[in-house]
Amino acid sequence: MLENYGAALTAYGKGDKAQALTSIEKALAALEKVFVAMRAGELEKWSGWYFGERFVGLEATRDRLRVVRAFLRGEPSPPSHAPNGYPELYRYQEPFQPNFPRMYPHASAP
Amino acid sequence: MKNMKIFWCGAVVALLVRAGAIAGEGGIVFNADTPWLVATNQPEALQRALCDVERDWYKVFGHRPVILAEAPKSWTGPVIRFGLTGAAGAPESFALRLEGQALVAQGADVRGAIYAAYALSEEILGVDPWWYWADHEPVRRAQIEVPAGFKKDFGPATFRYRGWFINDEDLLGGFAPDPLRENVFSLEMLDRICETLLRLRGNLLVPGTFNYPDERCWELAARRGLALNMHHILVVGLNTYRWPQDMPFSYSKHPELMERYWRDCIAAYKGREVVWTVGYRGKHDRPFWVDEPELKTPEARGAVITAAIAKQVELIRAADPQGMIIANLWAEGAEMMHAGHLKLPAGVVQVWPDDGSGMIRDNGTVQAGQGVYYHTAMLNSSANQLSEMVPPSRIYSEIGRFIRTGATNFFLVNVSDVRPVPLSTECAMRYAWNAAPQAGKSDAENMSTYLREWCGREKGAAVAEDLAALYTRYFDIPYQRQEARFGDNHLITMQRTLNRIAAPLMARAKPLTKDALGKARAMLSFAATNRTIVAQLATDANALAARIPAERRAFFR
Repeated sequence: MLENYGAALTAYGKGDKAQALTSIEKALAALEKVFVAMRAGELEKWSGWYFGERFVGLEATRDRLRVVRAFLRGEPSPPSHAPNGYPELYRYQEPFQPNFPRMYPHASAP
Repeated sequence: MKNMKIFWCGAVVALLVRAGAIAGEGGIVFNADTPWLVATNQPEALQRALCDVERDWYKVFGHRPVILAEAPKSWTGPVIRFGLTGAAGAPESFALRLEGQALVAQGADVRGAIYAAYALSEEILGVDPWWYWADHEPVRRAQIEVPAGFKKDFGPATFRYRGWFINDEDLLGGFAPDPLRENVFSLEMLDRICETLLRLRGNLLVPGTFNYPDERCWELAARRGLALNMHHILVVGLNTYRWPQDMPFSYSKHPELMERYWRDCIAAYKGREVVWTVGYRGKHDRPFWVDEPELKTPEARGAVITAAIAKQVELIRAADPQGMIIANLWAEGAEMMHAGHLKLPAGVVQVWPDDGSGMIRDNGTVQAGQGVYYHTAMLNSSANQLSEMVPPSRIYSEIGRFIRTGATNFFLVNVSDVRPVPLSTECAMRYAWNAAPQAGKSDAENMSTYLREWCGREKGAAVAEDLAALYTRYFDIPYQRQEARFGDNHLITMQRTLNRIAAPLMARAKPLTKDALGKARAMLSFAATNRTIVAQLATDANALAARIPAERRAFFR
């Protein structure tokens, strides 16, 4: 993926959009192999193990490549995933905010 | 008449065989019907461990064990005895031994007894401590022989506290979300984590990244017999990530506010075994001065942290005079300590962090009584969170320095989502429990031994040698080597960083800057250096897959 992404930018830098597009397609294909490898690690009880992956950001990486491909094709940007980090992972705490510094109401609360 | 005698002799023999009394002289043979002896009213944590071992027994023998408080007077066959020895012994020490017809698994204290139960499961029943994560079910047996004179003593541990930090837990949160939505991931999953940690003779847990001090995860860990610890951001248990937006965040200007919250958090842990973390950082994984920018000099910043720590220690001592207190010097803490800007009160254990990839940042100054905060998984711009990262040789080298110096009070390893890093994590935990087997040998030799044992156990003896060689090559991929220590996140960071510059230009059909083109060339060079090696490694790993026993192939993937 990295190699083909670098090649795409290098080709674009030389004005060769066709080659850049070819390289971005290869970068996407290479990244898809990563997803395929991850699926191979999701057998039986581990089905969905990588569903929550967000911090390394493989889906976000794929989104970025798809957006660049759209630029090179002269197409509008495709929709991308919404940001998904710690605020989303810990959203469950929001209803309990008034009890800070604890989660649950307690006797020593001011 | 003779036939009747033969019949009854045969019946008695059959009965004795069934009960497991026929063995090599002095030994025992036990089977599904061999009763367990467990005194009543055992501590909850031990009961929970014994429930796990009951399930192990069921998987091996196909029947639940018979569990009694005492053997009937008429019973002369083998028994399995669990519990506490009732005699003085080193903390957490335990033994497995044959005493007449009794296979005894007992500990000097509650955790020793827990470890004894799990050790019996691993050493005698053949249950892998990673069984859940590695999909490794034990072999079914009809009976198991224990030879005469069987005796194994364990402990005391090399490191006093040995724990896991469950951090950046996106995979756990997505895979096993808490159905009540009051934790990132379910307590059932946390229970599995606690079980595995105890099977590896750990005794300490930081159960998540931004937990409040009264979240249910703490209670579960405590009831499992684990001591509780908090990490370097949420010192004293204060969830600064949730700091109220309308409250000033400043110990230098509003100490009374912080102190009130510290008191409340300390109270939330009442009655539990806690290793307290002191310090002062920001509202996320960053120095406090990012949230409090008025303090400009290292001296001024160090003075605030020093004052905060002194107050925290005072508050903790009032509530928990015996609890260990540590100062985890993650990130800026290590730099400030080296520069002399931090002072710790007497009795506070100084804990050196690594750099996120297994190299400890003590600069060779480690002293006896200190501790270490380590990573086998790391989320930053350059390390690994989804795959193995730290070669065992680095673990032996770095942790070995601390062991030889006597800096063995505290060992916390960041394992992130657990499942991606069993090889390096087990290496670290085994070493932290007992460093004696590795003494006097080189790091490379210890790594080679460990990899062969790990691969043999997890993937099969027939492939152990070749698979260990593959792992050695994996850890020697150029970007993962000692000098670089990059990981899977480095690859993504490279693309993200370059894309941030390039994409807006491409969107407007503008030419790329020299900087962007330079980065693209560097990326090509980086890929060219590593891709061929990685591709060959993948080819060889796939070829090896065909030789992995079918029942282990899923874990191999």
